[in-house]
Amino acid sequence: MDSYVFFRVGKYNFAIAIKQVVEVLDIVKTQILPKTPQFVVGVANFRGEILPIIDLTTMFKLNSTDELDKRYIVVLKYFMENTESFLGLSVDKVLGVSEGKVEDLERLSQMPPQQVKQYTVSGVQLGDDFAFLLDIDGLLQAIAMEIMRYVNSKK
Amino acid sequence: MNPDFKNLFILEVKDLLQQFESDLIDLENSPERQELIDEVFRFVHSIKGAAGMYGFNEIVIIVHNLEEIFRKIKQGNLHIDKKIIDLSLHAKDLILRYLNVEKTPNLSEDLQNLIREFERLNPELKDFNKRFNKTSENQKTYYIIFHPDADIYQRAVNLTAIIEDLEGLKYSLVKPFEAHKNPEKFDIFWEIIAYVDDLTELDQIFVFVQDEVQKKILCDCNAFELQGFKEFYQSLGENFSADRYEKLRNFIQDQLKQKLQKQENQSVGQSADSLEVKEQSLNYVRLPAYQLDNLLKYVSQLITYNYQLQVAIDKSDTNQVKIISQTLQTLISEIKDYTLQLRLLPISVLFRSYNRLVRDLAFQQNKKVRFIIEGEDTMIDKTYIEKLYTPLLHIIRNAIDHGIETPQERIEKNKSPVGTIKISAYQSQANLIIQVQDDGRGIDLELIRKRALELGLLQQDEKLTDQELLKLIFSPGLTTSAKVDEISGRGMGMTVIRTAIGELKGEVEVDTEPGLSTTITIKLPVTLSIIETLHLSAGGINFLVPVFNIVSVEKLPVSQIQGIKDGRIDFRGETVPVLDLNKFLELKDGQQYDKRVLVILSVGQCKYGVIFDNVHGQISAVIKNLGAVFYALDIFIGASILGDGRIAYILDPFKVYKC
Repeated sequence: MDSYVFFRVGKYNFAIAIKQVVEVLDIVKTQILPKTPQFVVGVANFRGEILPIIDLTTMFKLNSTDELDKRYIVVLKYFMENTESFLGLSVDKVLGVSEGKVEDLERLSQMPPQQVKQYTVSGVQLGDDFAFLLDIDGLLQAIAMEIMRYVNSKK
Repeated sequence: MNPDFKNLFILEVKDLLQQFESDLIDLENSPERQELIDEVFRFVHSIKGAAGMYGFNEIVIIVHNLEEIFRKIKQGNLHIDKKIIDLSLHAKDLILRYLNVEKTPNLSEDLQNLIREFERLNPELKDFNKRFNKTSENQKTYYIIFHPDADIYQRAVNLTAIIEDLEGLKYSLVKPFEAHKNPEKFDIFWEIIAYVDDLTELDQIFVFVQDEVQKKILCDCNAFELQGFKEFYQSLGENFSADRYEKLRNFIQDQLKQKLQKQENQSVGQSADSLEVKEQSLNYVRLPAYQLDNLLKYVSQLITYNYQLQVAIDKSDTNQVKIISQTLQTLISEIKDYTLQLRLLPISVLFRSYNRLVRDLAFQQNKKVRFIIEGEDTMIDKTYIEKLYTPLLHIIRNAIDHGIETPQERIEKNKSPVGTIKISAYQSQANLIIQVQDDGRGIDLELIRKRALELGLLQQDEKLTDQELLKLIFSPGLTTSAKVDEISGRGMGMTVIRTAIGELKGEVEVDTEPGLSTTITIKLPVTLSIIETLHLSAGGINFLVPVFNIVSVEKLPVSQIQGIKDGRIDFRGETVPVLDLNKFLELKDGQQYDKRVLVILSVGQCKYGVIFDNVHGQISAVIKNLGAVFYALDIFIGASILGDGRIAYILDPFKVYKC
């Protein structure tokens, strides 16, 4: 069984395969990145590298359930267009890392919300509960598309 | 002598030669520039002494000749012309050949020819050359016909001794021939092939019969060491004929060529000096001393933090350990960048090496070409420089061979008779862009179409855009046939170019305006690159602007900036558009300033102004990309981390404002 990082956005649980995650950070200092859509929180200095941060709650158009005094950043490393880059996903709460069994979406008691469906490939068991497994490539492409649309609209 | 010193000397001279070559070419274009002549003297002085010390006597002779020629020029007794530049370039090539210790054919002969030419320009050189030139007379194989007069015995010359002496040489072949079949008369001559270190050895043997000896040089080498030489000699047979010399000479030249090729093919494991030097030249990196000092500073910081870490661990102060470990991480990443940076060289090293090629090729084809280099300070990884050499060579060659027209043709087309080839380099986002542009005849798209149809790359009714048609140029099939057909452009080697660039994970694009120009653009991914920038800020955010594009920086009172009408300003008699970065990027106008900063940027032909809040100074920035998902955000080349850990965005002047 593979290991996953589990986290919460709004009232939903999500999972990302651990091999795609570099680290989980709590609070980081960010600086705004001009000319980008609202879901781009900004950039941070991550060990001397540039770490742009995307707010998944905004991106997924979900509402945080509780008054959260802090957010967590799941740091991904990805390879696209011949370059390796970091991207931070800002989430409501990180639930932990554990092994989990993958389930088909149809067999889950709950379907992902409409706006998240395109990034969800299957479910992962999480104790008695379950989480939606995110398709990172799809998510990254969607982010790139959104940014492009935004930049072009401002020209 | 320590061989390391000798190798260092060789590397250094090679660098100097490169500079010398480009100075000469500049000098040819603007002979009035005195400082270039001074550069030649500097070049001569920096190698003359050391060359002698390391035993490169021929190099001493060459540079001395150069020095004397340029002294005449400086005194006004000689004038720079194509001939002098040609000779000086030739001298440069010869120095390089001597440095490489390659036993190239005709090396010594070429040296003699060069010296003769120099003497013609400056007869005073004869004395000097005679004194020092002896060394290069060494190492020759001679072909001698010794035909004693019939009265030789009456002159009490010991003929037997002469023949014995000749046979006694370490390397010699002596063969008698009968001149006439007249038994009553003594008429024998000898064919002698001999290799000697010093010509005086032979002169001594022939001392009493000098008039009866004809000497010719077979080669600047020891022919006896060549494989199959003696066998070949025997195969010439027992009968004398006048072409024996020619046959021997041809055989030797062929053997030398083969040997040379073999040497080139055998890459590793050969102890030949030349190969060793070649190998090592790849492995040396020459650095300014301050860069090593900086590296040492980093190391001492590491030691300090490591010590602090030990203390914190001993005290079990987890919080402190956490803090130090974070600092260490940042420091290590800085060191990583810095170390990678040491591998970078300015691209001028690469670009300038084509100066000569353009000059010589253009001359060969009776074309006139101006070669322009732009952005030569762009830093590029050392390995890229080595790998880009050949593909760029192909591109530039193509531009001269197929692009640029003859002066006559150009005049008929209402173009300047002098064609232009421009090579430029600049940074754009995570890419290094190299562009070669010529203002020649462009590429005939119709011909490409025709060829593609013939090759079945294209269907008859298929409609392609110009861009798609141009892409077909890279198809290998089209390449070769295009060459045969002499399509106006870029036939040969395009596949080679694309393959080479592909290996570097880069892309090549071709663009053409038929009849006007051709542009080849190479886009390379850059893992790490440094850019000289000006540090500015606006709306509380730090920005870096490439110095390359900055024309002027000026602090202006806010009142004056608010007075700018229609977003245009008068700059040195030119009306240029101005944009306020705060508004353009929708930044918060947090602070109030009395004065703000107007930066005028130049991009290609056009200029525009950008208003910042403050200016902080110049820094070399390590470009970090924002990540592929931000590809569309092209107003930033990337970002960089400042000394205090804050992040600054590097603006791309080409994209902020489109002229």
